[in-house]
Amino acid sequence: MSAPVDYLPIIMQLLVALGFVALTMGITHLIGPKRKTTDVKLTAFESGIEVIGNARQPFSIKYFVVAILFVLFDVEVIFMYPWAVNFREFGLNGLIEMFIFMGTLLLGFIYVIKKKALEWD
Amino acid sequence: MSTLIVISILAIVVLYLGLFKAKQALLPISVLGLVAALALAIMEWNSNAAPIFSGMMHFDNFAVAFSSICIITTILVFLLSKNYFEKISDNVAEYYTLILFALSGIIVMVSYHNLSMLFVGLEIMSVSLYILAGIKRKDFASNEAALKYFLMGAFSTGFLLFGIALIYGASKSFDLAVIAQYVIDRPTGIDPIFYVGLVLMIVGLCFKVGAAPFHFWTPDVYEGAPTLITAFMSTVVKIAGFAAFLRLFSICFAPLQDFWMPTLLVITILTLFVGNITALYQTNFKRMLAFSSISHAGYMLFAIVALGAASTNAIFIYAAAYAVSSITAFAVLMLVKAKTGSENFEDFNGLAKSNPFLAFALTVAMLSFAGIPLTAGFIGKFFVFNAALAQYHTWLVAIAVVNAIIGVFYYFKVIVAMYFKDNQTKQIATPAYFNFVLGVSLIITLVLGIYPSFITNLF
Amino acid sequence: MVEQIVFYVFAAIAILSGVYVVASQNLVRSVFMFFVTLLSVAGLYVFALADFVALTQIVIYVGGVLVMLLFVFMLSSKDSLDNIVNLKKEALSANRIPATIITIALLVILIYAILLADFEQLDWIKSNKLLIEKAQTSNVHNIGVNIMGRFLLPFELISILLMMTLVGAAHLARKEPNND
Repeated sequence: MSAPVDYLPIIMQLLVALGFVALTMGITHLIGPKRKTTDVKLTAFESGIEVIGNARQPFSIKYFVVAILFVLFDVEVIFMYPWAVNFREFGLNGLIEMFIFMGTLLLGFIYVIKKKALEWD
Repeated sequence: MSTLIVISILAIVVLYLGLFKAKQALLPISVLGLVAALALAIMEWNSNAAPIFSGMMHFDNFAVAFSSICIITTILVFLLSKNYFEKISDNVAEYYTLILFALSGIIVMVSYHNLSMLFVGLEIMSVSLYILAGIKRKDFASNEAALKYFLMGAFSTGFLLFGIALIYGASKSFDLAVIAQYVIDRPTGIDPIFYVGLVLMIVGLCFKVGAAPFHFWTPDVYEGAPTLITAFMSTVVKIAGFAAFLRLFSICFAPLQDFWMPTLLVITILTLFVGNITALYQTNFKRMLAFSSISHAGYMLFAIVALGAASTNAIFIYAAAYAVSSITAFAVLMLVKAKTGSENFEDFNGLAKSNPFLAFALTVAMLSFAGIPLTAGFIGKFFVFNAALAQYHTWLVAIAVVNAIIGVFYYFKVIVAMYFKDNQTKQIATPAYFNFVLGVSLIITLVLGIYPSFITNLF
Repeated sequence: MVEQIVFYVFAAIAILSGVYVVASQNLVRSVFMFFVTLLSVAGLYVFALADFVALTQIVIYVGGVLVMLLFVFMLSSKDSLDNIVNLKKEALSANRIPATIITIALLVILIYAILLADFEQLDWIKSNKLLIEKAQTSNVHNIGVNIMGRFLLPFELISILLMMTLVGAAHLARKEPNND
């Protein structure tokens, strides 16, 4: 049984990380040289050519397939974790049960590959 | 249980058949598989006394009856799908697969004995429907329907889950039997969070079955989704929703009737009036069917309000009558739409001259919707009202009768259009599958209407 | 005492960042603030002795869902996002009334529940309190035993759910062969 106290190191680490970022940013801001900037200076340098349009064009939907698949397998892995912890205890039955679970998902995955949903061109 | 396994495996088989280009085999195999699943379900009639899988699922007679009616309706929908999906896309197998997966979720929903099963079943059903509503990827209305359905569905699932969590918090169990025992053990002093959980579950389930005031999504989704999917949603899915609703309330919450009855009563009356009065003003036939499905949800809620021994039977008969009539209506709508390109009432003008059989089938379906004697719809309404009268909800029945009369007006609009308005339309070619489905629905409607004793004493 | 303070700090962060997520006009900022919300809720799960849920929260939501959300925002065209920002200027338009009513109703119901419920008096909490000192097995272990034992059927059904989602996602998001 893990008590909330066991997670204290994580909070510590979080605080240290945040503190480090804040500190370094603050110090560089204080001791670094200051430059005067204008709006023109802040624009992206495009070899002297005026910038046209927006960099954020709509991307191909293929990226979303990958992202969705990632989330789905993420969920699957979470289900495997409690099984893996007690792997020995469950024995053969647990193995079969897990294989049915994974087999179903594997069938889905084979479908996705066969359907060429992951092909890039 | 075997029904569930057969349907799940069937879905995967169909998916892979599509992958290996066996397109001609998809429909026969789906239908054959469903017939096998149906046979397996009926074989379990009266054979399961206790829940299985550590109380997860109980395939009792209730589950057998509602699974059978859902499977039969799905078979009818499949028969209508011949050449329908091919027009939308090349990937036909996915549509069959998704419908079959939705059906497996529905089997879980009608046979659950544990709230976790209810949730998983509901999710399987809903998620596949979100996808199915949006299968016309280039059609704006279809996309809108899918997105709207998804947002509303996710929202309502949130309510349902919150309710389940609170009920668990009070009773420390997802198991229906344990929750029922918790209620029985405490004639007074049930924890307040139990009541709150109950209210949230009512809200979630009312969202799912499309009862007012949680019906906002229904018309847009039903209109935007492809007609065949709408047919599936407004029949099978609605029946499954009511089966789940009824199962939960009759097993767990029956002793608390004093608490939830007023809430459901208000919802029922609102649903009846909103559905019927809005349906009166529709010019689009599909949208009219969407609103009429809201009002039918109201009639079915009736039997839950008057929860008693007769409720299951009443909802079963009503659902059967409603399902076959809806299938007929949507089948005719699909044919008319394929012919004229739109779904308004004028498109039905003169149908009686050009296609007497179509017109007759649709007329019987509309009469059944309206609850005219000698059709199944009348028997359904009769049993539902009877269940309510048994509990002395006389004035509630009066309201329902008023609504039934309002319903007659808009159902007759289409009949009038078919028989008394002229239009030079050519004959619509009816494929054999359609004739078969229409014939079966017609026979079921009339047989149930004339000899209701077939299914009136099932439970 | 310290535990309580940390708990309230987490709760406050969760609520405030949640309000920011909803109220912010800038969607990308909302998404980044949502990271904070989810992480602090994960912290609250730890306080509820549900470390597995906390872990799930971080792996799936922070690691998966949020990354996908960012994908969607970063990869879709900026113009369409700007339109969304312009849309929601009126605070109480007719479109929002149902949402407002439902939200307030839910809030009232939940407050009612929290005020009336006496969690200390629930039977099973009373009996579990006696057990809590004795419990030595870990949370993950218990969850594993339950998933593989009592909840086996829902567990296998979840594989069906995930597979169906896979098929649907691949189907909806795939490339049309000729023109899309």
